[in-house]
Amino acid sequence: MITAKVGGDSGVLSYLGGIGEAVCRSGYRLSDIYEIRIRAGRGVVLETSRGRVLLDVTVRTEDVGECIKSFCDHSLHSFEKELREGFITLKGGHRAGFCGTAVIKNGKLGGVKDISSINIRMAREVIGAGESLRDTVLKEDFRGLLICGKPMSGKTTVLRDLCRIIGDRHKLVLIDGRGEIAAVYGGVPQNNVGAFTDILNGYDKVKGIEIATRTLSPEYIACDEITGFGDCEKLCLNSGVKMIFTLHSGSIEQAKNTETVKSGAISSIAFLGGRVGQVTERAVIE
Amino acid sequence: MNLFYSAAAVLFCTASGFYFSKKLKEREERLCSVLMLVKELSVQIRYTNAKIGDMLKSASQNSAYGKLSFVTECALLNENEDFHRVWSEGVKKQPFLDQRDRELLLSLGEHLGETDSEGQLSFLEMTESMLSEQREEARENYGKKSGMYRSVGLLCGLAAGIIVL
Repeated sequence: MITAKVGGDSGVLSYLGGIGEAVCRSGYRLSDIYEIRIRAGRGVVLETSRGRVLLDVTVRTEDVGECIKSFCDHSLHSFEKELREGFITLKGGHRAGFCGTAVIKNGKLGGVKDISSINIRMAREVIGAGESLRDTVLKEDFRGLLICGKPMSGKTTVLRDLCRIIGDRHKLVLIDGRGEIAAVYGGVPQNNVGAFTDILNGYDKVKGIEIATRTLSPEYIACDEITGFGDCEKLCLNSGVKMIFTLHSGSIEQAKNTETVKSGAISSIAFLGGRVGQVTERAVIE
Repeated sequence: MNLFYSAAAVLFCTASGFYFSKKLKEREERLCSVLMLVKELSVQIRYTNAKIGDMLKSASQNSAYGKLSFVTECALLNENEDFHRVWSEGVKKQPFLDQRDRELLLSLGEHLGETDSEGQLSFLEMTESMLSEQREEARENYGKKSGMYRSVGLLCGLAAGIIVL
Protein backbone atom coordinates (compact mmCIF):
# COMPACT_ATOMS: atom_id res chain seq x y z
CA MET A 1 0.00 0.00 0.00
CA ILE A 2 1.31 3.44 -0.89
CA THR A 3 0.99 6.20 1.69
CA ALA A 4 2.26 9.74 1.32
CA LYS A 5 3.42 12.07 4.05
CA VAL A 6 4.71 15.62 3.68
CA GLY A 7 8.03 15.96 5.48
CA GLY A 8 8.32 18.09 8.61
CA ASP A 9 4.53 18.77 9.02
CA SER A 10 3.49 22.39 8.60
CA GLY A 11 6.85 23.72 9.84
CA VAL A 12 7.77 24.86 6.35
CA LEU A 13 5.17 27.63 6.52
CA SER A 14 6.75 29.05 9.66
CA TYR A 15 9.72 30.09 7.50
CA LEU A 16 7.49 32.23 5.33
CA GLY A 17 5.91 34.63 7.82
CA GLY A 18 2.95 36.45 6.26
CA ILE A 19 3.26 34.45 3.04
CA GLY A 20 2.88 31.26 5.08
CA GLU A 21 -0.31 32.66 6.59
CA ALA A 22 -1.64 33.40 3.09
CA VAL A 23 -0.89 29.80 2.08
CA CYS A 24 -2.77 28.59 5.18
CA ARG A 25 -5.74 30.82 4.30
CA SER A 26 -5.83 29.42 0.75
CA GLY A 27 -7.47 26.32 2.17
CA TYR A 28 -5.07 23.91 0.50
CA ARG A 29 -3.55 21.23 2.68
CA LEU A 30 0.22 20.86 2.56
CA SER A 31 -0.18 17.33 1.29
CA ASP A 32 -1.91 18.79 -1.80
CA ILE A 33 0.81 21.34 -2.50
CA TYR A 34 3.82 20.31 -4.62
CA GLU A 35 5.49 23.68 -4.92
CA ILE A 36 5.22 27.18 -3.49
CA ARG A 37 6.58 29.88 -5.80
CA ILE A 38 7.29 33.29 -4.35
CA ARG A 39 8.26 36.14 -6.69
CA ALA A 40 9.19 39.66 -5.58
CA GLY A 41 6.77 42.28 -6.84
CA ARG A 42 4.34 39.62 -7.91
CA GLY A 43 2.15 37.05 -6.24
CA VAL A 44 2.53 33.63 -4.69
CA VAL A 45 1.74 30.62 -6.84
CA LEU A 46 0.91 27.18 -5.49
CA GLU A 47 1.38 24.14 -7.68
CA THR A 48 -1.18 21.74 -6.29
CA SER A 49 -2.68 18.37 -7.07
CA ARG A 50 -5.67 20.36 -8.41
CA GLY A 51 -3.59 22.64 -10.63
CA ARG A 52 -1.94 26.03 -10.37
CA VAL A 53 -3.33 28.55 -7.89
CA LEU A 54 -2.41 32.24 -7.70
CA LEU A 55 -2.79 33.63 -4.20
CA ASP A 56 -4.07 37.15 -3.72
CA VAL A 57 -0.95 38.47 -2.00
CA THR A 58 1.78 40.76 -3.31
CA VAL A 59 5.29 39.86 -2.29
CA ARG A 60 7.69 42.68 -1.47
CA THR A 61 11.44 42.37 -2.07
CA GLU A 62 11.96 42.57 1.72
CA ASP A 63 9.62 39.58 2.19
CA VAL A 64 11.83 37.50 -0.08
CA GLY A 65 14.93 38.61 1.86
CA GLU A 66 13.24 37.77 5.16
CA CYS A 67 12.32 34.31 3.85
CA ILE A 68 15.94 33.64 2.87
CA LYS A 69 17.18 34.76 6.30
CA SER A 70 14.58 32.57 7.94
CA PHE A 71 15.62 29.56 5.78
CA CYS A 72 19.17 30.16 7.03
CA ASP A 73 18.04 30.43 10.68
CA HIS A 74 19.28 34.05 10.54
CA SER A 75 22.82 32.79 10.05
CA LEU A 76 23.74 33.40 6.43
CA HIS A 77 27.38 32.49 7.09
CA SER A 78 26.34 28.91 7.92
CA PHE A 79 24.73 28.47 4.50
CA GLU A 80 27.36 29.95 2.21
CA LYS A 81 27.73 26.78 0.16
CA GLU A 82 23.97 26.44 -0.24
CA LEU A 83 23.54 30.11 -1.12
CA ARG A 84 26.24 29.72 -3.75
CA GLU A 85 24.59 26.64 -5.18
CA GLY A 86 21.19 28.30 -5.30
CA PHE A 87 19.19 26.14 -2.93
CA ILE A 88 18.69 25.47 0.75
CA THR A 89 17.28 22.28 2.23
CA LEU A 90 14.75 23.08 4.92
CA LYS A 91 13.69 21.11 7.96
CA GLY A 92 11.58 18.25 6.67
CA GLY A 93 13.66 17.87 3.52
CA HIS A 94 11.84 20.56 1.52
CA ARG A 95 14.07 22.29 -0.98
CA ALA A 96 14.01 26.04 -1.46
CA GLY A 97 15.65 27.09 -4.71
CA PHE A 98 16.10 30.74 -5.52
CA CYS A 99 16.93 33.11 -8.35
CA GLY A 100 18.85 36.35 -8.12
CA THR A 101 21.88 38.16 -9.45
CA ALA A 102 25.12 36.21 -9.58
CA VAL A 103 28.07 37.50 -7.55
CA ILE A 104 31.27 36.55 -9.33
CA LYS A 105 34.46 36.21 -7.29
CA ASN A 106 37.73 35.34 -9.00
CA GLY A 107 35.84 34.30 -12.11
CA LYS A 108 33.62 31.85 -10.21
CA LEU A 109 30.12 32.06 -8.82
CA GLY A 110 30.70 33.40 -5.32
CA GLY A 111 27.11 33.85 -4.25
CA VAL A 112 23.75 35.31 -5.14
CA LYS A 113 22.44 38.79 -4.32
CA ASP A 114 19.12 40.59 -4.89
CA ILE A 115 17.15 37.38 -4.64
CA SER A 116 14.00 37.86 -6.66
CA SER A 117 12.18 34.56 -6.46
CA ILE A 118 11.98 31.41 -4.40
CA ASN A 119 10.60 28.02 -5.31
CA ILE A 120 9.89 25.64 -2.44
CA ARG A 121 9.54 22.03 -3.50
CA MET A 122 7.68 20.10 -0.87
CA ALA A 123 9.39 16.87 0.13
CA ARG A 124 7.21 13.81 0.20
CA GLU A 125 7.87 10.53 1.86
CA VAL A 126 5.81 8.01 -0.10
CA ILE A 127 5.99 4.67 1.64
CA GLY A 128 5.62 1.96 -0.98
CA ALA A 129 6.82 4.07 -3.94
CA GLY A 130 9.79 1.78 -4.44
CA GLU A 131 7.96 -1.55 -4.04
CA SER A 132 7.91 -2.19 -7.80
CA LEU A 133 11.73 -2.23 -7.77
CA ARG A 134 12.11 -4.31 -4.59
CA ASP A 135 12.79 -7.61 -6.39
CA THR A 136 15.24 -5.95 -8.77
CA VAL A 137 17.45 -4.48 -6.05
CA LEU A 138 17.34 -7.49 -3.72
CA LYS A 139 18.30 -10.02 -6.43
CA GLU A 140 21.56 -11.93 -5.88
CA ASP A 141 23.16 -10.87 -9.17
CA PHE A 142 22.12 -7.21 -8.84
CA ARG A 143 25.00 -4.77 -9.52
CA GLY A 144 23.38 -1.40 -9.77
CA LEU A 145 20.16 0.43 -10.55
CA LEU A 146 19.76 3.71 -12.37
CA ILE A 147 16.41 5.39 -11.74
CA CYS A 148 15.86 7.95 -14.44
CA GLY A 149 13.11 10.31 -15.49
CA LYS A 150 12.25 13.90 -16.20
CA PRO A 151 12.18 16.54 -13.45
CA MET A 152 9.26 16.02 -11.01
CA SER A 153 8.84 12.38 -12.10
CA GLY A 154 9.43 11.13 -8.55
CA LYS A 155 13.02 9.84 -8.77
CA THR A 156 13.98 11.06 -5.30
CA THR A 157 10.74 9.72 -3.82
CA VAL A 158 11.39 6.27 -5.27
CA LEU A 159 15.03 6.35 -4.18
CA ARG A 160 14.01 7.30 -0.64
CA ASP A 161 11.62 4.38 -0.42
CA LEU A 162 14.16 1.98 -1.90
CA CYS A 163 16.57 3.09 0.84
CA ARG A 164 13.93 2.13 3.39
CA ILE A 165 13.37 -1.26 1.74
CA ILE A 166 17.07 -2.10 1.39
CA GLY A 167 18.21 -0.37 4.57
CA ASP A 168 15.92 -2.53 6.70
CA ARG A 169 17.85 -5.64 5.57
CA HIS A 170 21.29 -4.62 4.35
CA LYS A 171 24.07 -2.19 5.18
CA LEU A 172 23.34 0.83 3.00
CA VAL A 173 25.21 4.09 2.79
CA LEU A 174 23.10 6.97 1.56
CA ILE A 175 25.00 9.96 0.19
CA ASP A 176 22.50 12.72 0.75
CA GLY A 177 24.26 15.67 -0.84
CA ARG A 178 21.27 17.99 -0.63
CA GLY A 179 19.77 16.60 2.56
CA GLU A 180 16.40 15.96 0.95
CA ILE A 181 16.31 12.16 1.00
CA ALA A 182 16.80 11.41 4.67
CA ALA A 183 16.11 15.02 5.80
CA VAL A 184 18.64 14.71 8.62
CA TYR A 185 17.95 17.21 11.34
CA GLY A 186 20.17 17.39 14.41
CA GLY A 187 21.81 14.14 13.30
CA VAL A 188 18.51 12.22 13.13
CA PRO A 189 16.89 11.31 9.79
CA GLN A 190 13.31 12.54 9.70
CA ASN A 191 12.34 10.23 6.87
CA ASN A 192 12.39 6.48 7.17
CA VAL A 193 15.45 5.40 5.18
CA GLY A 194 16.00 2.04 6.86
CA ALA A 195 17.33 0.78 10.16
CA PHE A 196 20.77 -0.18 8.81
CA THR A 197 21.34 2.92 6.73
CA ASP A 198 24.27 5.23 7.36
CA ILE A 199 23.89 8.72 5.96
CA LEU A 200 26.64 10.93 4.62
CA ASN A 201 24.74 14.18 4.81
CA GLY A 202 25.79 17.16 2.71
CA TYR A 203 28.75 15.29 1.21
CA ASP A 204 29.93 15.81 -2.30
CA LYS A 205 28.86 12.66 -4.19
CA VAL A 206 32.30 11.66 -5.44
CA LYS A 207 33.93 12.16 -2.05
CA GLY A 208 30.99 10.45 -0.34
CA ILE A 209 31.27 7.34 -2.51
CA GLU A 210 35.00 7.23 -1.83
CA ILE A 211 34.54 7.52 1.94
CA ALA A 212 31.69 5.01 1.96
CA THR A 213 33.55 2.31 0.06
CA ARG A 214 36.79 2.81 1.94
CA THR A 215 35.53 3.16 5.50
CA LEU A 216 31.90 2.12 5.95
CA SER A 217 31.88 -1.34 4.28
CA PRO A 218 28.45 -0.95 2.70
CA GLU A 219 26.61 -3.58 0.70
CA TYR A 220 24.71 -0.83 -1.13
CA ILE A 221 25.37 2.82 -1.89
CA ALA A 222 22.51 5.14 -2.81
CA CYS A 223 22.97 8.58 -4.27
CA ASP A 224 20.69 11.15 -5.91
CA GLU A 225 21.24 12.97 -9.19
CA ILE A 226 24.51 11.72 -10.55
CA THR A 227 26.21 13.28 -13.54
CA GLY A 228 28.95 10.70 -14.25
CA PHE A 229 31.76 9.97 -11.81
CA GLY A 230 34.29 7.93 -13.77
CA ASP A 231 36.58 6.37 -11.19
CA CYS A 232 33.94 6.19 -8.49
CA GLU A 233 31.71 3.71 -10.27
CA LYS A 234 34.82 1.59 -10.80
CA LEU A 235 35.65 1.87 -7.11
CA CYS A 236 32.17 0.59 -6.20
CA LEU A 237 32.26 -2.06 -8.90
CA ASN A 238 35.66 -3.38 -7.87
CA SER A 239 34.70 -3.50 -4.22
CA GLY A 240 31.48 -5.37 -4.95
CA VAL A 241 29.23 -2.59 -3.64
CA LYS A 242 25.81 -2.37 -5.26
CA MET A 243 24.73 1.06 -6.40
CA ILE A 244 21.45 2.87 -6.74
CA PHE A 245 21.53 6.23 -8.46
CA THR A 246 19.03 8.63 -9.95
CA LEU A 247 19.57 10.63 -13.12
CA HIS A 248 17.71 13.35 -15.00
CA SER A 249 16.96 11.84 -18.36
CA GLY A 250 14.34 12.25 -21.05
CA SER A 251 14.36 8.61 -22.09
CA ILE A 252 15.85 5.26 -21.23
CA GLU A 253 18.02 5.47 -24.37
CA GLN A 254 19.63 8.68 -23.14
CA ALA A 255 20.35 7.00 -19.83
CA LYS A 256 22.05 4.08 -21.56
CA ASN A 257 24.56 6.47 -23.11
CA THR A 258 25.81 7.82 -19.80
CA GLU A 259 29.27 7.07 -18.44
CA THR A 260 27.73 5.44 -15.40
CA VAL A 261 25.94 2.80 -17.45
CA LYS A 262 28.91 2.33 -19.76
CA SER A 263 31.18 1.70 -16.76
CA GLY A 264 29.40 -1.62 -16.20
CA ALA A 265 28.30 -0.68 -12.69
CA ILE A 266 24.62 -0.69 -13.60
CA SER A 267 22.62 -3.86 -14.21
CA SER A 268 19.13 -2.30 -14.42
CA ILE A 269 17.60 0.96 -15.55
CA ALA A 270 14.11 2.04 -14.50
CA PHE A 271 12.44 4.94 -16.28
CA LEU A 272 9.75 6.85 -14.43
CA GLY A 273 6.89 8.36 -16.36
CA GLY A 274 3.13 8.71 -16.11
CA ARG A 275 2.07 9.46 -12.58
CA VAL A 276 4.70 10.41 -10.02
CA GLY A 277 7.00 7.50 -9.14
CA GLN A 278 5.52 5.06 -11.66
CA VAL A 279 8.03 2.86 -13.49
CA THR A 280 6.98 2.84 -17.12
CA GLU A 281 10.01 1.30 -18.77
CA ARG A 282 12.84 -0.98 -17.68
CA ALA A 283 16.07 -2.16 -19.22
CA VAL A 284 18.49 -4.85 -18.14
CA ILE A 285 22.15 -4.19 -18.87
CA GLU A 286 24.28 -7.28 -19.35
CA MET B 1 16.18 59.24 67.98
CA ASN B 2 18.93 61.46 66.57
CA LEU B 3 21.36 58.60 67.00
CA PHE B 4 19.15 56.42 64.86
CA TYR B 5 18.90 59.04 62.05
CA SER B 6 22.61 59.61 62.25
CA ALA B 7 23.34 55.89 61.87
CA ALA B 8 20.87 55.70 58.97
CA ALA B 9 22.60 58.62 57.22
CA VAL B 10 26.01 56.97 57.66
CA LEU B 11 24.69 53.68 56.34
CA PHE B 12 22.87 55.24 53.37
CA CYS B 13 25.82 57.31 52.20
CA THR B 14 28.29 54.48 52.68
CA ALA B 15 26.02 52.06 50.80
CA SER B 16 25.67 54.58 47.97
CA GLY B 17 29.46 54.85 47.75
CA PHE B 18 29.78 51.08 47.64
CA TYR B 19 27.01 50.85 45.03
CA PHE B 20 28.76 53.28 42.67
CA SER B 21 31.99 51.40 43.18
CA LYS B 22 30.25 48.08 42.45
CA LYS B 23 28.69 49.59 39.32
CA LEU B 24 32.16 50.22 37.94
CA LYS B 25 33.23 46.69 38.78
CA GLU B 26 30.09 45.18 37.24
CA ARG B 27 30.58 47.14 34.01
CA GLU B 28 34.11 45.84 33.72
CA GLU B 29 32.99 42.25 34.41
CA ARG B 30 30.19 42.43 31.86
CA LEU B 31 32.49 43.87 29.22
CA CYS B 32 34.91 41.01 29.96
CA SER B 33 32.08 38.49 29.42
CA VAL B 34 31.00 40.17 26.18
CA LEU B 35 34.60 40.18 24.97
CA MET B 36 34.86 36.48 25.73
CA LEU B 37 31.56 35.86 23.92
CA VAL B 38 32.78 37.72 20.84
CA LYS B 39 35.98 35.66 20.83
CA GLU B 40 33.99 32.44 21.17
CA LEU B 41 31.65 33.44 18.34
CA SER B 42 34.67 34.15 16.14
CA VAL B 43 36.21 30.76 16.88
CA GLN B 44 32.95 28.91 16.26
CA ILE B 45 32.22 30.76 13.02
CA ARG B 46 35.78 30.16 11.82
CA TYR B 47 35.92 26.45 12.64
CA THR B 48 32.36 25.12 12.76
CA ASN B 49 30.27 27.66 10.82
CA ALA B 50 27.65 27.10 13.49
CA LYS B 51 24.37 28.96 13.39
CA ILE B 52 24.02 32.00 15.67
CA GLY B 53 21.08 30.43 17.51
CA ASP B 54 23.08 27.29 18.28
CA MET B 55 26.09 29.31 19.42
CA LEU B 56 23.96 31.43 21.74
CA LYS B 57 22.28 28.30 23.11
CA SER B 58 25.64 26.78 23.89
CA ALA B 59 26.89 30.08 25.39
CA SER B 60 23.82 30.34 27.61
CA GLN B 61 24.87 27.10 29.30
CA ASN B 62 28.25 28.55 30.17
CA SER B 63 28.23 30.20 33.60
CA ALA B 64 30.79 32.74 32.35
CA TYR B 65 27.97 34.43 30.44
CA GLY B 66 25.45 34.15 33.28
CA LYS B 67 25.33 37.92 33.74
CA LEU B 68 24.52 38.56 30.06
CA SER B 69 20.78 38.10 30.25
CA PHE B 70 20.26 38.83 26.54
CA VAL B 71 22.26 35.69 25.67
CA THR B 72 19.94 33.55 27.80
CA GLU B 73 16.86 35.25 26.33
CA CYS B 74 18.04 34.62 22.76
CA ALA B 75 18.80 31.00 23.63
CA LEU B 76 15.17 30.48 24.66
CA LEU B 77 13.91 31.26 21.15
CA ASN B 78 12.63 28.55 18.88
CA GLU B 79 14.45 27.58 15.76
CA ASN B 80 14.23 30.00 12.81
CA GLU B 81 12.83 32.72 15.11
CA ASP B 82 14.63 36.01 14.64
CA PHE B 83 16.95 36.66 17.59
CA HIS B 84 17.77 40.25 16.58
CA ARG B 85 14.73 41.80 18.29
CA VAL B 86 15.23 39.82 21.52
CA TRP B 87 18.94 40.66 21.52
CA SER B 88 18.28 44.37 21.11
CA GLU B 89 15.58 44.43 23.82
CA GLY B 90 17.82 42.43 26.15
CA VAL B 91 20.80 44.73 25.61
CA LYS B 92 18.67 47.79 26.39
CA LYS B 93 17.66 46.20 29.71
CA GLN B 94 21.18 45.04 30.58
CA PRO B 95 22.23 46.88 33.76
CA PHE B 96 25.59 48.54 34.56
CA LEU B 97 26.59 49.18 30.93
CA ASP B 98 26.94 52.72 29.65
CA GLN B 99 25.47 54.12 26.44
CA ARG B 100 28.56 53.40 24.32
CA ASP B 101 28.66 49.77 25.50
CA ARG B 102 25.00 49.35 24.61
CA GLU B 103 25.47 50.88 21.17
CA LEU B 104 28.34 48.51 20.48
CA LEU B 105 26.29 45.52 21.60
CA LEU B 106 23.27 46.62 19.58
CA SER B 107 25.40 46.97 16.50
CA LEU B 108 26.89 43.53 17.16
CA GLY B 109 23.40 42.03 17.41
CA GLU B 110 22.28 43.72 14.19
CA HIS B 111 25.19 42.31 12.20
CA LEU B 112 25.29 38.78 13.61
CA GLY B 113 24.32 36.23 10.97
CA GLU B 114 23.72 38.87 8.30
CA THR B 115 26.79 38.29 6.13
CA ASP B 116 29.06 35.49 4.94
CA SER B 117 31.67 34.11 7.33
CA GLU B 118 34.37 36.44 6.04
CA GLY B 119 32.12 39.42 6.80
CA GLN B 120 31.19 38.02 10.20
CA LEU B 121 34.82 37.48 11.19
CA SER B 122 35.85 40.98 10.11
CA PHE B 123 32.99 42.51 12.03
CA LEU B 124 33.69 40.44 15.14
CA GLU B 125 37.35 41.41 14.96
CA MET B 126 36.44 45.09 14.83
CA THR B 127 33.95 44.68 17.69
CA GLU B 128 36.55 42.82 19.73
CA SER B 129 39.05 45.62 19.35
CA MET B 130 36.50 48.28 20.34
CA LEU B 131 35.33 46.19 23.28
CA SER B 132 38.90 45.73 24.44
CA GLU B 133 39.35 49.49 24.54
CA GLN B 134 36.13 49.98 26.45
CA ARG B 135 36.96 47.21 28.90
CA GLU B 136 40.40 48.75 29.47
CA GLU B 137 38.76 52.07 30.15
CA ALA B 138 36.29 50.39 32.53
CA ARG B 139 39.18 48.71 34.32
CA GLU B 140 41.03 52.02 34.70
CA ASN B 141 37.87 53.71 35.91
CA TYR B 142 37.37 51.03 38.51
CA GLY B 143 41.00 51.28 39.64
CA LYS B 144 40.85 55.05 39.88
CA LYS B 145 37.37 55.73 41.12
CA SER B 146 36.13 52.75 43.13
CA GLY B 147 38.18 53.58 46.22
CA MET B 148 37.21 57.21 45.91
CA TYR B 149 33.48 56.41 45.72
CA ARG B 150 33.68 54.21 48.81
CA SER B 151 35.69 56.79 50.78
CA VAL B 152 33.51 59.71 49.70
CA GLY B 153 30.42 57.69 50.58
CA LEU B 154 31.76 56.86 54.01
CA LEU B 155 32.98 60.41 54.66
CA CYS B 156 29.72 61.95 53.49
CA GLY B 157 27.87 59.49 55.68
CA LEU B 158 29.97 60.41 58.68
CA ALA B 159 29.54 64.11 57.98
CA ALA B 160 25.79 63.71 57.60
CA GLY B 161 25.72 61.61 60.78
CA ILE B 162 27.58 64.32 62.73
CA ILE B 163 25.29 67.06 61.38
CA VAL B 164 22.22 65.05 62.36
CA LEU B 165 23.63 64.49 65.87
